Amino acid sequence: MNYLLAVITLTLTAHAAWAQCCSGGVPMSGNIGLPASDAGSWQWMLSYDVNVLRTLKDANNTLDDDTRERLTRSGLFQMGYAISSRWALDAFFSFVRQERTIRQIGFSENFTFTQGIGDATLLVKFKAATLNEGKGEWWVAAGPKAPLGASDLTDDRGITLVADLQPGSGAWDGVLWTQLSHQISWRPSLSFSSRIIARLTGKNNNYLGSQVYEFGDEGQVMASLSDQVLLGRLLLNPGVTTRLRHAGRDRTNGEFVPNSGGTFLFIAPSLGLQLTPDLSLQSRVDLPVYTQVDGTQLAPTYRVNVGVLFRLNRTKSFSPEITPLFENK
Amino acid sequence: MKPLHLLIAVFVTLASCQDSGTPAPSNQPPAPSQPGGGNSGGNANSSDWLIPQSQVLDGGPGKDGIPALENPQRIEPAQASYLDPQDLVVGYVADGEAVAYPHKILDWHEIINDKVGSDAVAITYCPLTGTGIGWSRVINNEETTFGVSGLLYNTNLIPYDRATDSNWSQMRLDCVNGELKGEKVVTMPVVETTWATWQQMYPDTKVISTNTGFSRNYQRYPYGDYRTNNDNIIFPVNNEDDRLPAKDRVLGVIRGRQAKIYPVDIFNTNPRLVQEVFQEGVSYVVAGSAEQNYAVAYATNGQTFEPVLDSLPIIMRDEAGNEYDVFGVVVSGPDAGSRLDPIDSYIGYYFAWQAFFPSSPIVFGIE
Repeated sequence: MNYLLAVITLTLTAHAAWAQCCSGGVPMSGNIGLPASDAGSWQWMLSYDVNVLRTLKDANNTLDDDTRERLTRSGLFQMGYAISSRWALDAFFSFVRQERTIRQIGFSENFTFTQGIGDATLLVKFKAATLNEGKGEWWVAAGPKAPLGASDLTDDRGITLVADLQPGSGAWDGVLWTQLSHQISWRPSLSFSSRIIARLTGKNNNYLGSQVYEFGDEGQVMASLSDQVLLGRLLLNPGVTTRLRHAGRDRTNGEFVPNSGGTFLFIAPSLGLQLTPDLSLQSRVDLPVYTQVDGTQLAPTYRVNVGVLFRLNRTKSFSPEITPLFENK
Repeated sequence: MKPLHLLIAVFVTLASCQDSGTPAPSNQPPAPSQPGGGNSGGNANSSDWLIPQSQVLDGGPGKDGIPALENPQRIEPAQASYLDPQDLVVGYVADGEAVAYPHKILDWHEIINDKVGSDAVAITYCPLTGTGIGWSRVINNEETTFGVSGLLYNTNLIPYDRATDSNWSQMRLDCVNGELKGEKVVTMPVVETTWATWQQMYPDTKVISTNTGFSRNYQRYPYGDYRTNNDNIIFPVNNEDDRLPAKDRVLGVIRGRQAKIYPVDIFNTNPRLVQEVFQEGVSYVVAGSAEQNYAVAYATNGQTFEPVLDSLPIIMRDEAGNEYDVFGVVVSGPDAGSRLDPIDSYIGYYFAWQAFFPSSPIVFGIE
């Protein structure tokens, strides 16, 4: 029973750790890594993610300019299979729409978009340790990110757009992932988890026909606290995540691309709703609390992610020990 | 098929559909796999380009994402504490008014639409090619303004005119797309030099204020080490040529589709002159000083010139006793008030000149 509770709690906590890849680019590395599940079970996660960038930053100063906006809208599909209690496999697919809008006073609005299949990631996960008599787990994972997405799309005039506006990166990347999660002993429904993700980027050797483009390497550290509460007959999972993300500067032909890369700190409240033992809804909002960009860049203003998680072939019943938010008498 | 095999098969199948990214043999971007959308082009004809459309690229910020300035505020030199003596400016003079347009402002706005005296001028500046050129804002007898299209050709600025939304090539000096395709730019003579030299030439000059109406950090150069790193060319260009370092500042003098290149460094400390004749018989004079950091060129009528030292803005004298200022205006002598005919010329990075004018001859020194 306690094990199952831990798994469920960790499952929902893990979903509080969604993140993004780069300022406007392909939303990948922060989103990967489905929660742990029972051996032989399948999981499907479908989510919609919109990342809004309309804050113009010069280093860590906010400039008084709201004339430009970049949106990355993504449909994300993640499927996972637990081979055993220690091994699991996740695959992550995306459909990405990149939008750019410019609104200068006195001139007509200018709007550009691309959309298409984004890149995909395969992650092999291994449970490195079970901690404290099953109250905690440590998982590690690694895998490739394959360049399924196009990186040479054009605007409505046939003009090729830059890397940041493409749905794909055009490069094979390596992804390293680890997560440590633990129940809080004095409140079994409350859990803490931390996650570290590193994306080691490869090179797009066919950028603009003759150039080599490489997005900056990326690292993220996340810490989450999540609880389970009963609100009437609703089983809710409120949580909060802090996420520190650092993206290195991009390179063209080996030379740094100006105004790329930076360090970002977000706080992200989340709320989940368990509809059935196998079906849950998830939502999260990322709000930047500190931003330090290289040069001058549009930086994240906020990010919204909503999704649904479905699990199949559970081997154990669902009967969590939960703490009611309000007592029903 | 077992579930695990299915999952792996899906991933591998999809991944194998992706081109692994073998470099293309030339600078030509590949045919795009599918289009995006939007209203990026405004009213311009979307596909009718005078230059290869495949070499026209989106620079990232988008149309008007780099905001051009309109009649920006001018201040006295004493108020321009944001400028250092060696900072480069693009200077313009008309009807006794001298105005300096600093690179520190132009790096962030690329085009300044202004009126100096009675002249409607646009100072166009491309930070990626280092080219500052004055354009007339009068097209077909109508005054207009220019904006930044967000497009690049050979990594060079493509302004658009706001009367017709046509796209123009800054370094080619012609309209390359839209209603006015094929029209030539009417250039307005400018002098690019240091802030110190410009003040020496025109002590009564005004200079553009950083109070532009836009929130930018004008003290920071926005392109990192781009100015000095010869290996850093952000977008593809044609005709790579290593006879000179890519970022050397050179004056190019254009005749038709040909150009001749004069590195600013060859002019030494004092003003030096080079008198040349194009194959078609057009004679011209190039004057410059490496120390004072300027180089200009004007068409001539066969006069013989000698340099004038320490008298800026006067830089040369002809055999008839006429003294010429840096804009080619005769400021004293029998022909006072006249001026040498302009010839298309401007300063830019060496690689950009070779991209637009392949195999241009270079003058490596002055005897």
